[in-house]
Amino acid sequence: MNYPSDQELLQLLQSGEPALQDNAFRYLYRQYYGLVESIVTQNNGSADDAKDVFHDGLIVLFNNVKKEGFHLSATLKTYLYSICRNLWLMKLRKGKKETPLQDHHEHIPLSENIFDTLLTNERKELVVRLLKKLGDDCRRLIELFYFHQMKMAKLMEVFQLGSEQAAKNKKSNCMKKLREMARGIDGLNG
Amino acid sequence: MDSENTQKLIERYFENDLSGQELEAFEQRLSDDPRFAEAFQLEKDLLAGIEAFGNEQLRAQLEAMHVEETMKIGPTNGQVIEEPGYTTPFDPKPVDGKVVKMVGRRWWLAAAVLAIGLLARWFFAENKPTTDQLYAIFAQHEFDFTEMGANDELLPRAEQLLKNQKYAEALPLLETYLSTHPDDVEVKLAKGKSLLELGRFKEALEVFSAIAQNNPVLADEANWCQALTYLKQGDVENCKRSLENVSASSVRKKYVNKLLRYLE
Repeated sequence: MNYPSDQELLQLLQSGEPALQDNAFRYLYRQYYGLVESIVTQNNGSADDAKDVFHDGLIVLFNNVKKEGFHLSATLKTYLYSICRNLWLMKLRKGKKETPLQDHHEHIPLSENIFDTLLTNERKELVVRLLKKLGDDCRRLIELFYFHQMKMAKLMEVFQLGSEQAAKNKKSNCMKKLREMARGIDGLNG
Repeated sequence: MDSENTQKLIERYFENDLSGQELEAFEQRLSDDPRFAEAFQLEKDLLAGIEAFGNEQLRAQLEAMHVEETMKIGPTNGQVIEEPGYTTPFDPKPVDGKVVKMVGRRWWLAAAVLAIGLLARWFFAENKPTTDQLYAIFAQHEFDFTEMGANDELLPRAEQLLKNQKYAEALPLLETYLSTHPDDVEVKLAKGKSLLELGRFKEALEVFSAIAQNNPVLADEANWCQALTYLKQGDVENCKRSLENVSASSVRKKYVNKLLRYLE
């Protein structure tokens, strides 16, 4: 069978449609989980560590490829491997267990800020809690629009709205609600 | 400038929609106007929080995927093995020309079954999965026409396209094939799945319900697909109803029960 090309996989991840994005994740899972598992388990990590690193790696990859102007400077395999390799190195460093890594694939240098998405802080946690309190519809819409980057035309369809403008308005109202909730508590008051 | 326009301006900033000149003015205002800076910071925090929320949901989806994937026999080269109760021994299989070891041997199956239970409980406690997530987890279409229509060139081409999720391109081929082989139910089923993936839900449901009524062998599969069609539309009640039509002896039954639990 034909395997999807890197470009096709990127298109799936950038499609704005959760079902297509999921297909890409599943494909990446099947193709590259074993590779990441070997670098982790052969460098002081457990199978569980490997799973966590791989999941974090996919999250970093996803949030990065969605950015405007994203350009893949190596194969997707090398890119994902490099991300996961970095993540495992950071973990080893944190536990003061760093040793020279036994590599299983080539890797490329990465800019450090792509890992920021994994950092947690009080503000982020607060917003996550607020989102959970927001109505189901609004939470889903916000997640689809901002996280999955679903297009307005598609949102209009999913939420059975009459026009793209109606979808835009709904999005604005949901964000307004979230802002009001955030302004109502101390932690986010500037 | 009223607060609504201010908000729109800030939104446009984060959507990378400001021109060079606008951007300059925007940055100037950030340093001159504390209330503007405050609104900007709030929006930045909200967007970071939304990303964190999305990451959390994605992580849950990947956990589910991990269980689903490692329940199978090693790398499957894109093919889904539906029945986790297999008896084939676990063997590493070559992917990409190399031997890749996936997690686990047979004992892992027991762990995987346990993990599904834990995962389900965790889902319930923390984030009830959305119907979209459930669809993503459960809708794993299989297309294999190798034993059929050996004399026909259409089917291998259609199969290739379907496996690459090119449903819009596959659909006309399936329809052409069906025009000369109107009784080929497997191909009809594939047509239904294509319509489903293309968002043509009403037509998909028509195809599935015709199969469910007229073909006892594929009725369970058709009912399952019907349930997925409702699931994709977020129609939980009808989804449940279709799942209940899948017979207890179906190979899908485990998945049916699992999905029903998520939908409760």
